Amino acid sequence: MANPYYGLTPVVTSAGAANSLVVCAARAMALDVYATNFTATAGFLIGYNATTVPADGALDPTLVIDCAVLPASGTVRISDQPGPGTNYSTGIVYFLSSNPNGYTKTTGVITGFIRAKYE
Amino acid sequence: MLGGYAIASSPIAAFPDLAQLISIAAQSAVNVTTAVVRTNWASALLVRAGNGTVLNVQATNFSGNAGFLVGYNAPAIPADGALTPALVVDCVPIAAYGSVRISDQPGLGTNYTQGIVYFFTSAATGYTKASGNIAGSIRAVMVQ
Repeated sequence: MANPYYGLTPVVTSAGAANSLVVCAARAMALDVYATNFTATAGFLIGYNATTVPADGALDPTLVIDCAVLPASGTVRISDQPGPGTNYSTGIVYFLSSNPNGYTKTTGVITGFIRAKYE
Repeated sequence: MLGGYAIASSPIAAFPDLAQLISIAAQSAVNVTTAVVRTNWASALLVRAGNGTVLNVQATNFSGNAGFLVGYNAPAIPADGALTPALVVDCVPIAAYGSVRISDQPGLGTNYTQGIVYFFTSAATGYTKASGNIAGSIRAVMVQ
């Protein structure tokens, strides 16, 4: 008999090669996220406390909750499992940026796969 | 003594049914029956042809071609070509002659609502299946 406590956490994935993912447009806890880079350009996987994907350019530093290096053609994972997760008070958004500064968003270069779990 | 009242040394001991209930609940939270499904010298593995939860998967590439290990939410191995993006649940790069592991342990597993399939693809992205260039071993652990 399957344990009812397993697999109940929503998993959200990017729909096709993408550079961003709105995981939850409201307050939530991020448990786990990973991204796979389909390009030969390195960058960052950034977790942003917002309900929508921000525009390219300077980010609000207080909203950058996670920032991890994403190698070229590689993968990176940020995990709080088994918990507790990371609280995003406004919403959970992840995106891939090729800017050398994690506080500036530059898209159009990196595309990839993003998968996140939240509760 | 607390505030002049006597406190039982073990309040739960006074309620054997409650103690038993707590014991059962604790066991059910940690004892999960798992199954290991594996394949060798293959390009794909059908772990389960129905709803299931994966705890971890690992794969080793026996070829000189890099690619991706893709987890697909389907009851059967898809044909080569464009995949349905919404069904791609996992996608990680795998190096030539390399290994890769996706693990949710410790923690909640990943639920596949239609079926659990893993395969290698040598396409430029994980959203296209191109088999024939990568063969290896795939091993997955799922909740039964």
